[in-house]
Amino acid sequence: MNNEFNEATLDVHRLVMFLGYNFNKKTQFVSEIEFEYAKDLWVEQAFLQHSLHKYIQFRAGLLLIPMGIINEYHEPTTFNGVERPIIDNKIAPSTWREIGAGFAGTLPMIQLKYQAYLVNGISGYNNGAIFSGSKTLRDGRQKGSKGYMYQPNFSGKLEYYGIKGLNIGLSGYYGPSQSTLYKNVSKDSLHLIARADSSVINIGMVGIDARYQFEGISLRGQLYHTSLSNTTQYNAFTGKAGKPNDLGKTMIGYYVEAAYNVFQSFDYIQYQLHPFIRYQFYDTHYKATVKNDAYNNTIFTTGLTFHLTKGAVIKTDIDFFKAKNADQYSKIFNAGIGIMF
Amino acid sequence: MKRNFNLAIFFLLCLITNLLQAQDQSDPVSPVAVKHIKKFLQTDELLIQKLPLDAKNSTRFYGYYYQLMPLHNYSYCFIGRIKSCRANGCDLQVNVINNDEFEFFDYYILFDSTGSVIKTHVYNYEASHGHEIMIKKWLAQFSGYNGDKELELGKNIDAISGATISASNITKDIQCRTKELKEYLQAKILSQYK
Repeated sequence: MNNEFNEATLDVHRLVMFLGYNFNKKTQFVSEIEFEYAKDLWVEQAFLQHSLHKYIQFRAGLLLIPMGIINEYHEPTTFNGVERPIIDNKIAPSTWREIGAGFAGTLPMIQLKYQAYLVNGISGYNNGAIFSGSKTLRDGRQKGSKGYMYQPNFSGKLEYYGIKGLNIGLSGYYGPSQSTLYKNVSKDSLHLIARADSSVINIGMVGIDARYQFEGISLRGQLYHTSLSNTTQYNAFTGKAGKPNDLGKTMIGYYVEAAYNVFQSFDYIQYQLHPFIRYQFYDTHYKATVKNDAYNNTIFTTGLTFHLTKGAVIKTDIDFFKAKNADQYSKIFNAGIGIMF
Repeated sequence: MKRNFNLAIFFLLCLITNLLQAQDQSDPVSPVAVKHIKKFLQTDELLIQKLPLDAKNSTRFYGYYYQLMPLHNYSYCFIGRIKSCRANGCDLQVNVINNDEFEFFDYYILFDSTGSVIKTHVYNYEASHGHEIMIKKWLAQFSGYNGDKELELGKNIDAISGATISASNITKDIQCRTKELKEYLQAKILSQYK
């Protein structure tokens, strides 16, 4: 035990207002307006959807990137723990949304959902480096706010739901990061183009996820694997004081989680109480020129999710963090409420 | 040559568009449902007679009860439509049937002579989310239900990740319709003894 005061943080972390409109059964507008930390205002998604056929929908606007579970299904009543899994912060930068267009739909005859979009890419350079080994890609989200684009990125997901209680997802994202250094550069200025090229990396991210629910048991797992190329040039170009930046070449993250509703067998109890345990691992220097063990982290999370009624939960949990180069686990206690209606 | 090729592509696209539109089933309940029920029962000689039972329809749920003849195991059915609430607005005071403003799905319940559920089937899903409720094994959870208890998603009915709204709506409607039919059958039996 240390001999210092511990400061707690109290926060209205997210308040999301859904605003949608049915023009008719084929055409809808869907949006979510989000207040973060009780003061920051963001548009989390805002897109127009038109059904070309019962199996094909066209979407355009500010879209959620279909990567993993949490980025699309992040309402607090849909996951255990007060905070989202940390790999959905460090590896997949949720809530990840960009302006784009594409197609989505469900093929019920083979129990498959699909999404495929061309979207604006994450920014890697704007008057300086945005990516690094510690910050990863997260700060590069353009979120539909004065975004700049030189090449679109591809984002897609396939989801199989044909086995009762089981959803399996395969997500993919590919494309170059964006950079402000291309602005007003002549296509004949090879030196300036080479300089701008050094501020860009190529991103290839794959996500595999599974969710299973059976009676009171719920299991879920998520794996992200991110390959980054051109990082040697990027790190050299964006280094400071003669020291190169430290963005890794490969990042990896995964978690597995199990929960059980202990009131499942009691028909007269309307509440649901889900104790859960989650094991997480991430390494943003899984492959790197010079590996930093501080970026290799293991997290155990255990807690309770108490469903008062459909759409209203009280949550508590405790996280045990340990970096590979640390001697002992550090602990964080979280408590919160979540609602969705 | 190139012009002919472009024309061929154009006609091919027109053909595909027409085929896709031809498959679009926006027709409400009865005829399509009857076709599916006949297929399930493997008979062409099914007679369906509307029951004199007023279903408690609402802005979100809508349907009718029928008696099936000849009377074998499947004695009654309910053919209904449930409005999807992806973009909300479900409680607006507008009729769900023949209304073009909302996503929906159509389903039927087959009951035995005592009013217990034998089969539930979603035969037309026009909403953009929640297709998971069409999984036969998930719908099989309702088989045997006779309205004697409350159905609760996540408790005695397995919740579905990604289809919360549709699963909740169909669970509510199956419970409501089974209880309605049971009350009707009980009243019918009592009237025979008067």
